Amino acid sequence: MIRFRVFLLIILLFSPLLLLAQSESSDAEPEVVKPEEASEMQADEKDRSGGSEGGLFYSTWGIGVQGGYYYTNEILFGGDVSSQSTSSSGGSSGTTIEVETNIQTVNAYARYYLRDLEFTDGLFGQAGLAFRNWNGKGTITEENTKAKLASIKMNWSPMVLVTGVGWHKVWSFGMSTSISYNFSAGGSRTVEYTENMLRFSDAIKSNLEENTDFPTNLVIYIGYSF
Amino acid sequence: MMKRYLMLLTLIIFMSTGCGDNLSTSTKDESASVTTDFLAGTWTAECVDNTTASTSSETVLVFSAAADNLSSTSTNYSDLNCVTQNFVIRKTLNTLSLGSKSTTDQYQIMTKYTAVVSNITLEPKTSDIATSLNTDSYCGSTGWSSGAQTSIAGLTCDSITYKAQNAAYKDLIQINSEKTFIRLGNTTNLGSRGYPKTLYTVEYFK
Repeated sequence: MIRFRVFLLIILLFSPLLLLAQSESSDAEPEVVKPEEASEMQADEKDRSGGSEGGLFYSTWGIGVQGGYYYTNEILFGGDVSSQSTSSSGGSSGTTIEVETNIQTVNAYARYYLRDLEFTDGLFGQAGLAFRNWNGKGTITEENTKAKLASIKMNWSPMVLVTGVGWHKVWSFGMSTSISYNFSAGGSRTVEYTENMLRFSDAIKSNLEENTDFPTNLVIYIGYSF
Repeated sequence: MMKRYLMLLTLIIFMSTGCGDNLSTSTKDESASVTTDFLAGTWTAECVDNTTASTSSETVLVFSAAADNLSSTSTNYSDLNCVTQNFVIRKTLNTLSLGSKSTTDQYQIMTKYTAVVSNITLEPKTSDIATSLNTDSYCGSTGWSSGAQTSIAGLTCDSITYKAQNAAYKDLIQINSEKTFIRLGNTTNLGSRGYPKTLYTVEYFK
């Protein structure tokens, strides 16, 4: 039943993209480009079918590398790998708080570009799957006795659906930049609280749970198109 | 053209339904339980200095084998290193009964206990201290002498009013999950139900 639901979700997820792709072929009227107009075409307006590109990006979910292949001028199949590890230590009122997070994500997606109008050129929608190795832990100890007061463990499900919208610009000299905003769905996470000498208040729990939820991912990319 | 935008809008609406990860939480209580077997024996606090008064103090707790009696001996010193004794306050409690695990207002996990005051005594350790106590009519008494224990149960000494003999006594015990030390409640800061609202920071080790 779970597999069926995931399959259904994938169909629902990709259906708008497929419809967009279909509408391109069925609705598009033949365009005749005059020679004088063709000479004025910029690199970002050319047909990219069969082309590729790759580059680096900074995102909410970490820093990584991204690559893509233009299946058609409108459809790109892409993937990226990102990683982000943080470790911090602090404290107050005689306690020491140590926190570690590890976020590694592999993302595979299909992207559809709206090419037909000047003002929408580069605008795209995308959908795909993200494979995650996300976990975090935190411990609170007494500064003078080193006694453990409490700890937290967090784990995220290994797979999640990711959809997003963005804008992509390719310059005539090959430089490629994009910005996109993505949303995750269908994943889960577990938070395990362990109380040794200190109870977690409801307020602390809800505050922590809110601040460790990352349903969106802003991606800023720079690369080269070839 | 409109059709495409409607489809993109469909995609955006679908995206907006993505509300992050489903959350499941669990809470494990790994706090240690205070038992009579664990308490039985002698617990000693490290020397605590008071740099303002240039004195120090050291407290020893002795729980009986069944942990139903507690003898607390606090020695005050005239130096910062617990060397030269000034006076000793002894508190003995009977009918000690451990209660349930609970939390303070600061969410510290602790165990409540009740007892009955058997006696509280003060013993000056030097003649100078005895003279000083007599001069000040400390606790309303002028019969202080070095080496002699005098009951101060039910008396007010400085700003502290000690519980009377046979009075009900309520306190807290905190234990770390590694079971290496205990702490007691601050009996000078009581809540409405008679239990201390906070814990002393002093640790007692076996």
